[in-house]
Amino acid sequence: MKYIPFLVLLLISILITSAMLLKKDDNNIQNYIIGTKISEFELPSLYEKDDKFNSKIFHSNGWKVLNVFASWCQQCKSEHKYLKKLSKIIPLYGIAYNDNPIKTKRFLDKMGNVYSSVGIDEHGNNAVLIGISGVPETYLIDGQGIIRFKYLGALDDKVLDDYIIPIIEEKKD
Amino acid sequence: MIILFLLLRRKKIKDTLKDIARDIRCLVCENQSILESDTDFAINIKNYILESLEKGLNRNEIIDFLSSRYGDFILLSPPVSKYTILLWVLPVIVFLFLLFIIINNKNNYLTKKETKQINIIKTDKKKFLVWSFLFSFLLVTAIYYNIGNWGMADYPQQKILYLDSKKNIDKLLYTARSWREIDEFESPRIVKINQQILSIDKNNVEANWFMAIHNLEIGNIDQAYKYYNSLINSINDLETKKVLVEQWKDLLNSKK
Repeated sequence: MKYIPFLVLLLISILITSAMLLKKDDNNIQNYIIGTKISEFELPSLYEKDDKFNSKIFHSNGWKVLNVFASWCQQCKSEHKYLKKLSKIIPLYGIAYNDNPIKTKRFLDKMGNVYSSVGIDEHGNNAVLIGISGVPETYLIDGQGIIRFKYLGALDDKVLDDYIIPIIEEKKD
Repeated sequence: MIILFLLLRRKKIKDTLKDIARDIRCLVCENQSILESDTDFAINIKNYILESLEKGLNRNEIIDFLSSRYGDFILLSPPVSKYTILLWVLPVIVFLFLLFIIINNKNNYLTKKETKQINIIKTDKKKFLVWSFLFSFLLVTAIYYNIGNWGMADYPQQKILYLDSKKNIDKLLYTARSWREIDEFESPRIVKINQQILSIDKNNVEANWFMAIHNLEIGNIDQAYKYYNSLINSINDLETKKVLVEQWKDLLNSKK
């Protein structure tokens, strides 16, 4: 009888620790937003020859990737080569978040433009509508405009191989 | 009358904004509400709340939208759902269980008075055990419920942003310098803090120099010259003036 409280506390702590250790999910993967439709928004395009950058792009046929970046963001540089890799498989769309258009252009000239079209959200006015909390951020969106995957932070080989590429290949079948 | 009405409406909206902002977590900070934070993320959310309040949305609609975009984690106190029920119920269960043990033990040694007298040292041990359990339980619950609030204690960098006296210019400058070491490009927060320094002291050399170069970079030549002129006018030392003028010429040439 004397030891029961001990045992109960021990059991609870073992349960909690094992739950923490067994948790495999990457914290940067945002599950709550999967399955919701992307909100309606309209942004000016970075390159004037393009049409307006709005949410209708994502309602037409085909899967697309939406990537949020900024020229002042260090991690966006490091994920650039993975975006290049991704752009060979699927069309990429970019949003320059909280960034001056001139600097964005310079950034893309320097790094190489991987996007089919780039929208500018210079003061972050549309960030909350879309669900942007910072840069970099990557969304995978299907032909109906439904978000199928969201990742916070810089992409790397692990994210591409474990999540994004399998999801894209699955829809082809 | 109309002006009074508008003013009252404005005040009501501001109060509601504060009320909502207090409960929304700033996702890019360490356990702060967006009310206490000045990051881009917090400002965006506050603007969004303000806009939707002006449109006539109510508190629940706004919070629902935010948690649909950013998840339940954005709410500072987690809502009761099938995933969080353990979080809310566990402390109560543990408390009841310990209470049960205490009462049980008490009965044991009240009814058997003789054994109590004989084993006086034993019961003392028991009492000690019970009290130590109660105490540790209280400690654990206190930690459990307060751990979220402890993180809010001190954020010097964030608090400085609210202070507007000349004394704090050194602190602001220090913050700007340390941010410039972290961010390679001139990030929005560095531009913002330099504008803040200039709003307190418009002749500040360092901030003027930064803003001049920044505006030159993004192509606002007029603005750049404005900052450059106020910089040059505020310097008395001839040597420094010469150095700065030459550097400025170099910069202009490199742009061309």
